[in-house]
Amino acid sequence: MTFSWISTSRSHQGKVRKVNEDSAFAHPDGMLWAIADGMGGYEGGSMASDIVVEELGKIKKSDVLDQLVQNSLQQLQIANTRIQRYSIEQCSGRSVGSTVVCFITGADGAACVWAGDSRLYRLRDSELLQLTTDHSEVAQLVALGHLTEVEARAHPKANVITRTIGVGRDQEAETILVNTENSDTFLLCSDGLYNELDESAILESLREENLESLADDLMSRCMLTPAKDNISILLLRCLRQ
Amino acid sequence: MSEEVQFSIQSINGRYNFVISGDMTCGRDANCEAIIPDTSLSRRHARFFVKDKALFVEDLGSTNGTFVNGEQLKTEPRLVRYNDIVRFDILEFKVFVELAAPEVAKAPRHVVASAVEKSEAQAPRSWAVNDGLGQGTVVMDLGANKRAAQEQGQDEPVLEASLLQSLDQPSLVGIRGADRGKTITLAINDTAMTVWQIGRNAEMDIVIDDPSVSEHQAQIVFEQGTWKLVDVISTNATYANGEKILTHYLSNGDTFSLGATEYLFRISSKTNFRPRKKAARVKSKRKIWIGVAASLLGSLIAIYFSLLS
Repeated sequence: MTFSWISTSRSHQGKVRKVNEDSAFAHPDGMLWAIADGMGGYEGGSMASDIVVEELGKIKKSDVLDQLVQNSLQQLQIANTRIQRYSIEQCSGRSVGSTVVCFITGADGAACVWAGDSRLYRLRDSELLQLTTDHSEVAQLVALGHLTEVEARAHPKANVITRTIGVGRDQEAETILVNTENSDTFLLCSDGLYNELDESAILESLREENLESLADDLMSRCMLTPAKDNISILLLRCLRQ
Repeated sequence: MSEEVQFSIQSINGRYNFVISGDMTCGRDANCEAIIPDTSLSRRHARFFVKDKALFVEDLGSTNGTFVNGEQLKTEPRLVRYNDIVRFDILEFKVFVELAAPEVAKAPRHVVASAVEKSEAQAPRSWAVNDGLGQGTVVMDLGANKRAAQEQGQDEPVLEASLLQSLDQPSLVGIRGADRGKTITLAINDTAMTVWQIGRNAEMDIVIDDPSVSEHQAQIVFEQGTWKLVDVISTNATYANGEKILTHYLSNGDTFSLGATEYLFRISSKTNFRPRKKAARVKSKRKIWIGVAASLLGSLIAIYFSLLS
């Protein structure tokens, strides 16, 4: 069974930040979509997320999921090295890095590769499910039962992530297989979205049938909040051929 | 992935911050792991301990009691978690939890640089340094605890020179809490006696917008050249130079606090912090020495001339 995919993305700097350090990306061959959320201040953050999507864009078309995943991890490793070099050469060794969340489809299934606190959600039968677990300090504290989800958001270390592309010697992405069904909607997003809108608010937006107006609705809801961070979303819908 | 967490308690007045490693006894006693020199605490007031990765607190038979979220502890230890308020008599602490940093001694300060130099003996490689340049996502910081304390710079007393220079009247300079950085002038209306009422109530002469301050907490009295700070039966007590007080004669440079708000008392910027007497004494001593030296020289000259003749 083969699927075809339609996608759309939006990215906004938000109301507070002057620079948009996020990058949203759809591979022209239609088998990989990604969002990267850069960090490092000044130009560094946006440079890092640009490098990530640029390297992901170099992946050759393939139908074999495993091949695609391996290639993405290789490209992320290259991005990792490039960001490190950039950090040393242009930012006097300052920590520069990026998160990444990347949705990959082959003829034999789909997978998600991610590092940091950018997320993948799946909407199926009016149920929103977060498929990725954040690589962040507070997510670990939540998993260990020390914090609730709500407390995690207000925790002073809510923005501290434990895995990245570009900060360590190697890229640190995690991979999961993703089950897909006809008319599933997937949402890739940076933390700017879910820190402002909780899941019920996201779900409310996702009721919209049309993918474009769904994206617009989600962004406009987000812009009604304080929108303290860059907001990036990428929506994907699976259609059986 | 590290599963170790680190608990700490931070006093709401910003004065104390203790990281809990193993058992931690709190009290005034010098043998306590957390020494809290506050008169309302017992020598050995309470004990924190970690069991099954959770934090507990127990009262050690203190005089004024240990409370968790307002509820007094009896003999049983009680589980406490993030954001719980633990109170020893009137001193409130907030419980904080974060991931424990990996073995800091081995960990490089800058992961980025070290990653290029060497890869051995380092912490999980993603735990790099937060340089504080971005407000958004940052990577986990090895020296985070230290910096977290610094970030609460709100609690650090502020004493900018510029603030103090402009003072030519008796005044209070807010150095901590609600009035931090603010200068309140104490204008003397009546040289015989002037009183300023201090509290949270809007009708006070000095209104402090701080929930830890009582409605009418204290007064400052200027009477025939002396300054006095008087506590007016407050909930959270008034402290002068770190001591709990009922009445305190204020000298230039004294600090006093009401709840979480602390002030520096200045009579005038021209007056030095040091008491004047000391300076005067130094001067007079010098004068005596000059006097002695002069008379000695005089007598020597007299003897010389008498010998000549």
